[in-house]
Amino acid sequence: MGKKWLGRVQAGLYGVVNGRFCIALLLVFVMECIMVDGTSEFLREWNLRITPWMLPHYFSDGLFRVYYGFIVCYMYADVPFMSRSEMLRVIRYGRFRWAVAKEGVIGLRSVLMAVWLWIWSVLLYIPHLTFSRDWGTAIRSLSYTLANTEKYAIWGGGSASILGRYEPIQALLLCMGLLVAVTVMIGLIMMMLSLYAGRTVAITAAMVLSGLAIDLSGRPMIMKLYYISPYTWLDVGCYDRQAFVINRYPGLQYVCSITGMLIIIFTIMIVMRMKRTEFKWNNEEA
Amino acid sequence: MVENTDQKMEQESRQPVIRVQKAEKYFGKQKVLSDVNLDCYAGEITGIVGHNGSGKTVLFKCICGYFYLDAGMIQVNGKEMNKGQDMLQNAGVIIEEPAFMGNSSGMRNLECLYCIRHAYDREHLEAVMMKVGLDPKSKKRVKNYSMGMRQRLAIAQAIMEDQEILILDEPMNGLDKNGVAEMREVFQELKQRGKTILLASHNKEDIDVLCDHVYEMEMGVLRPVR
Repeated sequence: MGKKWLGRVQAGLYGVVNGRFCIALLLVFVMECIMVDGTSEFLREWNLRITPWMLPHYFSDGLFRVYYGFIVCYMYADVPFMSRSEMLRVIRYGRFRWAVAKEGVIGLRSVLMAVWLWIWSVLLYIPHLTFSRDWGTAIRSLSYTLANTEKYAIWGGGSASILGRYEPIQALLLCMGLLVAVTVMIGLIMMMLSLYAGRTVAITAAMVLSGLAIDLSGRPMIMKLYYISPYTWLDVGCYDRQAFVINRYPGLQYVCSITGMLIIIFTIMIVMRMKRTEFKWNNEEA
Repeated sequence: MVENTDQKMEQESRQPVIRVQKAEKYFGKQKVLSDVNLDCYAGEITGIVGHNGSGKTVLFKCICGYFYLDAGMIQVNGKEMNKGQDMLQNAGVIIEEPAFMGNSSGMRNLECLYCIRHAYDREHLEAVMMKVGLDPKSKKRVKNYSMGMRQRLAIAQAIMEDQEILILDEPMNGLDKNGVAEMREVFQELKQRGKTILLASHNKEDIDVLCDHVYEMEMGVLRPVR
């Protein structure tokens, strides 16, 4: 019984961790190393200790969101996962189960990516790390003092609006949950588009969505784009915030309902399409 | 003459496991299968010969359910494989050069495929590996396999689930003389056990030795030879 269970888990896990996913994890690691650089300098000079709640603050930075978007785009660029090594698996799974398994792979990769992001947002601060349920002095200083950002070339230092709205654990859990949901949604959008319109369209759409993640707050005329820019929803400090007189950021309720609804719709569309699609295999290694 | 007539009558009374009728398939405007008719029976090996690009692989893909026909029909065990139908069940398949997980051993590859539909059974998989002449204990990665070893592994994955139907596209590719002889024995044994085998090969000798019925495919048209 144990062997049966183990074998099936192993079979299911195939395709979750492939070369492309490992490179995506490496890119995230490099991006976080660059982010930590300036902040570590600041912490060292002022002899401050930082708490493990930095991840939600990273996503308040537009450039970080854009880079993350591009990494997600790369991670799922092999949609609709029709590498020839899948040929022998499809006939054993059947179309429906294979499509569901691939959707599961997208989900699992998204969870692993979110955990990976959080782990390195903690581990890379190890010489300056302290554990507290509070935000801590370091994050407060980074969030409220712009002078630090310029002096130490800090990237994604902190967001005062997150501090004003959430407890640290609350902000982290919300950010992680949305991170998984948005990453799943992007993966599903890409898979769905690749089945209906081709892989080029899928990758182009994902790149456009990544580009939309840039900070639009200084440009009131195009701020409405926040409503169709999933990566900006990862900035948990901006919900319902008034920006200029005419604009308001989307609320958490809008973000959650749209994300949930689209995940369900895309999941169904993928399964429906998979029933009628013809498998044209490519030679990419999984 | 009388014997031939008896054989024909016996065949007509039997139900084919795979029946292809008036099959047509287009890629864009190009017709790749044209009015293809084919019956395959249990306990027999049906062979298809033909040049590269003649349409053999497309026909096999249509039978397996990777592609759908534009006209005509495919029946497997009396069940029609229409558009929207699932993949062919109960079939072991080799189509083109199968791709495996290059960084894993042959045994690991078989385990991953076997466990999709069956409980893990190491002893059985080891026996299958040995049957096709591969060492189940070898840690050698598949990307370092020779072409012949890859082909043996492909045959292993096709036969490991003891499926009723075997669709084998060029199963002898890359095998040396001994390998070909060993695999012929394997296929003969499977035939004796009542499996339905559809086989495509460039090698006339394979077809002559193994097949009960032979068809030739040219430009998408299939015609009986024997």
